[in-house]
Amino acid sequence: MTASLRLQSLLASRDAIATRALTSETLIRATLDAVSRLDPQLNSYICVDEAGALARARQLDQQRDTSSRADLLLDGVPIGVKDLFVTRDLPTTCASAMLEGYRSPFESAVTERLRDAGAVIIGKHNMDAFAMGSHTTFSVAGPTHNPWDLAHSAGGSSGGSAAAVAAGLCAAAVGSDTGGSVRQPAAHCGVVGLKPTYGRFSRYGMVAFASSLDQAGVLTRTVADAAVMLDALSGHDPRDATSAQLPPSNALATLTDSITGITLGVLHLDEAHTPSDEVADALDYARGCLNDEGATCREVALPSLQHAVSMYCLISMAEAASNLARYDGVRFGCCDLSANDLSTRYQRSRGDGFGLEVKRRLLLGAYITSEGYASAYYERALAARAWLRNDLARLFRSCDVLLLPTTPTSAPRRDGRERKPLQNYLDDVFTIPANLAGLPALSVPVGLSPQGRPVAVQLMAPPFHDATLLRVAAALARARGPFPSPPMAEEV
Amino acid sequence: MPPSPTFTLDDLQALAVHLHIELTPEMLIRLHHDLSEVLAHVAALQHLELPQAPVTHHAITPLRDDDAPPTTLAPDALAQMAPQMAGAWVAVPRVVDTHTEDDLT
Repeated sequence: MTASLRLQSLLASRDAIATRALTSETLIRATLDAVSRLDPQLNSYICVDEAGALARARQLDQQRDTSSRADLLLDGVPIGVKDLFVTRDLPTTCASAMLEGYRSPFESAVTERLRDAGAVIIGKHNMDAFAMGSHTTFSVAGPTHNPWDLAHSAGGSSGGSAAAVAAGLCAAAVGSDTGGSVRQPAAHCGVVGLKPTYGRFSRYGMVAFASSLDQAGVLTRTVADAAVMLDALSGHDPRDATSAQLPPSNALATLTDSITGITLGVLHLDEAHTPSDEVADALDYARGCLNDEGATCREVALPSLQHAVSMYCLISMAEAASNLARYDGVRFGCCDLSANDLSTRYQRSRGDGFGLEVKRRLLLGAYITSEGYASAYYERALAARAWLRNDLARLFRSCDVLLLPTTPTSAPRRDGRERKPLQNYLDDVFTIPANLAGLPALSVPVGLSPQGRPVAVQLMAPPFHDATLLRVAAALARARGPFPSPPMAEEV
Repeated sequence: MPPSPTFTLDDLQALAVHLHIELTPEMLIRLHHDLSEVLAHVAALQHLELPQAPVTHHAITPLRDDDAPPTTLAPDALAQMAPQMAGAWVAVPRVVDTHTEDDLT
């Protein structure tokens, strides 16, 4: 009973609460109980706000009974957020020793909007430090484990969010996606991961990694839940210079519309980008489903794909080296007070506070933007990015939505992954183009591998066609049928 | 200017100093290996015949005018985050030596 309550969709929970068939307090108690039982194995949360969540749920239940307030999109449902959205009432660590114990004096736009929509934030999710990583192994809190198979990667950097949503430890989560960090863990954990168009969600209060690529995104158990999260969080915010001047979306309203007339571009994959058999089968299956639902399919090519990882490495690391210069051990965060001079204090604070992957990216970012090398590396990458963006614009003149893999394989084993950084970067080849071009993209699970791990496909659309993307994903999910939960989630 | 044909340990050490990141000798060697591998991979971009296209950082969303209302935080809130305070000030080790007028002449 408790498991079915926790694992039902966000919309089912919200509607049950709205009709008084369920109270928010009951749902939050069931969720917190599952967190206490399952999370010692998963390590998906960095902090859980049990008292705050219960108090908030009781408050919402009382308001619902006594007031005539308008319906709230996320009324009473448990939501988790990646630990890089700053919050006044909970610490924000970015899973890094650099920010251990840090408490922000202001609130992020994402968490403000969640609360305004009636959500109960029950805690903050584990991640790779400063969102730099692909397996949630570079966390000061330890790795997150995949709920489908604890020996395998949960993906990253929003691995905590993906594992928690899959295991029913929250109804939905908000993560961040700089090169695939929402979609890739969503694929590995068997949940839906949506990166909206760049500018659709405010990034005010989202700790920066690479500003021209960073975008908040959502992880949910159903496509419809992703649509309602998009509707709740989108809309202009004058505090974010990159926020699009658009009203909130209404994607849920068109979610079940027919996809007849939609042209689906199926990405041609050359030998260098051939995915595993299980992913290739998933792509064939998705193509067949969408064709049956009324879409017209045609094969399309993206020649710039082969250089996307190089562009991403150079641009993201250059921007990271600039953004993370603010962590100096003076104004906030990790500080070595034993140093007698300022330069030594900087060096020791940053040396102790940053982990291996962050150092790797900062050093490379500094190298490729240094005098004599910027034109050869960084400026070259910017020019190549313009090429990729035009390549995608050309592609979308012949189709409405693009079908491609999310990842080359299902979730790999976790051991040994941190020793091969280049391979980790190369595995993000299919998610990176959406960030480089600012496009909306979504990962949706379509089945299980012979080993019982989720396999997903990715859909991508032109800028601000987020609702079309969700409509096509909903058609695929309808054809697929309900996606199972990990066995361990059903046991509690 | 073409990229350096070799990315040396000295280059990396100089970068670490520039970035104010203390590295152990073991980490220096490990990072040198990792970064050399990445640099070798991205070098392929050098040989691309790229079509002429305007280079912009932001793909689709024009930046808003810089006219947002200020969101400056209260000094007390900022001071609470500082690792070390001296009265109302954030404390740092001495940066500039105290000189007498005689020293400067």
